Amino acid sequence: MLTELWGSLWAHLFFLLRPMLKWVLNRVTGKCELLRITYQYSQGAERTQNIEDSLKQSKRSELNQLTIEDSPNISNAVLQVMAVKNIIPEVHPQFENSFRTCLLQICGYRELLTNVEQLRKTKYNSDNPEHEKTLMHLWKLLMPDDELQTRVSEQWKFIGFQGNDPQTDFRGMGLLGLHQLIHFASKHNAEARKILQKSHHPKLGYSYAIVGINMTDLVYDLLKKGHMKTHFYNKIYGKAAIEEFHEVYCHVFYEFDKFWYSENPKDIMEFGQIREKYRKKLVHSLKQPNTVLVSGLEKRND
Amino acid sequence: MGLLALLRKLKSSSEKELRILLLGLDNAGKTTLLKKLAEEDVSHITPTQGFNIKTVQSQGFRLNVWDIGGQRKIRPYWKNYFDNTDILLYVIDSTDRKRFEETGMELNELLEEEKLHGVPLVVFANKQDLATAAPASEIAEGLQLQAIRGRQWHIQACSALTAEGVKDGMQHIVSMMAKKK
Repeated sequence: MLTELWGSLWAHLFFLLRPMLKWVLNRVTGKCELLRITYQYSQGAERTQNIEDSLKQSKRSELNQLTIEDSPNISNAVLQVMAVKNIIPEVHPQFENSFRTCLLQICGYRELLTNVEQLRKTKYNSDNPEHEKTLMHLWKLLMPDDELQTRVSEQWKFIGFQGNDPQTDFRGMGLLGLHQLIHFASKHNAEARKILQKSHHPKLGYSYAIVGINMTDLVYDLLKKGHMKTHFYNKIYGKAAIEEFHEVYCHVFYEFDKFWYSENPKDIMEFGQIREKYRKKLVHSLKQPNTVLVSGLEKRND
Repeated sequence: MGLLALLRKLKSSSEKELRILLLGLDNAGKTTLLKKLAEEDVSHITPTQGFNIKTVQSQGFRLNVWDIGGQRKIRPYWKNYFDNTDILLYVIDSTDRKRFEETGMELNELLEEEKLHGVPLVVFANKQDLATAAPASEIAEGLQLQAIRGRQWHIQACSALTAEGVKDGMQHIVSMMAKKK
């Protein structure tokens, strides 16, 4: 209660004092906040997140707009900001490029979330031949030596769907869940199949496909809440493609599998607690400014 | 009366704890119902591996709701959660006619469990928002709920997704508990 009060008091105070502090720093250093940030931090999550915060808190609507607008013209925006903020390229030659990279990352993250959201909201539909083809492809990737006897089949349980028709298992993750299962099984086939094989363990095992869909929910939530910024701002100095997000998924699934066995669960009913513990661990590591989610998986494939 | 005793009395009278067990086949809508009860977002549900638990306040009751995964592989674990159950909520996908027989068999097995003896039952005939849903009366007949003896029961048509009927179902639970005590 007291800490809450203190926190909100501090936030108010900070809000009131921020313009004053900025003004003083601007006078003393002769640089505006955006410029100071590019000098203070090297390229990566810390710099981009500070730029993002600064733009968000800016009283100028044109700067503010950059953190909301869908696909703004980045080159124009950079020049406009430099004009507004009186940043002379001859004096600060690095600013233009640094700032452009930051803007690309900030807008790229937003666009990524939009694309991911769109895919997630697309429900799996067994009347759509494209969806069906993708689902069959998943079977072939995971079970190359076994023919699927019929479309509705008990065999689906073997790769960890709940019943004999996978379509009801995608639920709230929609096509995003299927695409990520496919991405893992095609880009890291040997690892995916090894994990599938281990998942059949009678005591420690789990249902591969529905845990995979659950991992989609995990990375989707981290993306939506902004935790993934650390990773993307550190790793990609431009706009991140959706495949990059699928790669993070592979990492998260691969590492979860290791975590699961290392926790030595009594049975599958411990899934909820272990998943929550793993999620907290991930969030904690994404709060460290230098974090990039790279697993043994990626290193081996590079 | 000491302050502490007074507080304790106040708490015990205003907050009765109930243990609610939420069971049913996979894809019946148990987790959606759980999240709706807790007034949470239901747009990105995933299949339940293991179980979920939430505590919900409702009309002076503190409800501890246990939502256990419904896939066949997990059903053998259901019995680990029977102890001290106050109410059994059984959720049915009213559109999944192909599995009415399977869900009926699972329910009958539950009703024969020693540890669930006399525990009031509320069947949620879920997914009534879909055009292909069977009406609650048809489901009640198929499950032969009328033949149930030795426990209170109620069937509630609902849509966990739209929340239609969920409140009515909860009201029944509360009145059942009042009758029981």
